[in-house]
Amino acid sequence: MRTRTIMTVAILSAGCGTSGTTRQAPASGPTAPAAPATVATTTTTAPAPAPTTTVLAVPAPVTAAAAPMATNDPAALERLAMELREAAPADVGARLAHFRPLCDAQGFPLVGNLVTKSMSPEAQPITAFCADVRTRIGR
Amino acid sequence: MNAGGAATVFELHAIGGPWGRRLAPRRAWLDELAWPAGGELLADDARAGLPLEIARAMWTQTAWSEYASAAAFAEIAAALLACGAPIDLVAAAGDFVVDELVHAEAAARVAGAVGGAVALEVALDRLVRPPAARAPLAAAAELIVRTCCVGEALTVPMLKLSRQVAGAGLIADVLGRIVADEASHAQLGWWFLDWAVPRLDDAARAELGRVAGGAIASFAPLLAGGCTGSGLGVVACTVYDPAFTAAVARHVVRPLAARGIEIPADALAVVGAATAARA
Repeated sequence: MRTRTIMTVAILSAGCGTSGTTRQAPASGPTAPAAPATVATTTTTAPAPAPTTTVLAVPAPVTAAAAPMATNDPAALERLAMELREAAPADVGARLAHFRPLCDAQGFPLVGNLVTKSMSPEAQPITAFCADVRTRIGR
Repeated sequence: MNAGGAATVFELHAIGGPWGRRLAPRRAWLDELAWPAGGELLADDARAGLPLEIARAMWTQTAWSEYASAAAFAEIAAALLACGAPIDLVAAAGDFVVDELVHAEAAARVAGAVGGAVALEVALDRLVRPPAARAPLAAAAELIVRTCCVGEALTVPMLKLSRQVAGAGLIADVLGRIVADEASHAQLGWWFLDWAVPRLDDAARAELGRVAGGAIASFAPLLAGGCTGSGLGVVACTVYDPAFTAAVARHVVRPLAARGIEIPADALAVVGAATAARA
């Protein structure tokens, strides 16, 4: 069974690639649903990974993401916060690499779709970082 | 999209076949829009000098917001069933899941048209904040106040603003279609409350006010920081911030107050809306 990729992030060799627009033809016709496996001796074979066709190729000028902090130690979190307060925005962006969506104090996405506001490139890594800290501390 | 609890890069996939055909009528409008030819980006004159990186980030986050909204309506539909809500409200909530997923695809395609999505790390196990209330009616009310009466109610005026400054026909068309759907998503909240509020006591209504206040206050980080100009659906902060404050008062505080649900003033003050709410 094939899946059609609507949005994915592709790591490209250059940071200014363009979007692919190839649309994959629908997968082959419907098939009868498989009967549930109720016999313990039923042999199952893991399906091969579904091939995907990219509808929306996206460049991702990123570096490797920092490893998640696996601690709830307040002292460690305070050190992290201190480091980030002292770091230049560009440095923060380079270390965290990926964007993080804004979230509430418990780390859940903000409700609705209100992220249309323009934010300067300088502000963006800081904002992403604030959300990152919330996620790391599990709040 | 990867499953599991760890942060993962946001992706969207479709499987096609009978499921694609089932969805086709709902997403047909997407294919009727004037998308750029393969590999091309939206014309420079639509950018108005806006760095593409900002539009890419904004549209990727928009796709994520819509995906999270789909999850919220799925939770709401289940909560409405659990509290014995009118079945047409339940059906609408379930139907809104489809709306939001189509919006997610629309936003993803716009992200592609402005240069491609950014690598957005998301946590799929934290899509919807669970309600604190245990009683089915109070739990449903909590989910709906947060999602419909705050999130969707604010989304409508802010996306209208985004559409006004879009500067590109394609993006204006996408936003126009999304706004049309979101308006009914907000309305579900008010219809639900009109049914539910007589069944809630004073303490439950006060708690809903705190829930709404918490949801509003969570937007405070959005109102901080520097900003660039408008274009491609992105709204300059000089326009966005005052419009947001006004929208909180008009589209959230007053309709809730009319139903006996008061938002604590300190929550409104966090986003500068306390004064506007009293006006």
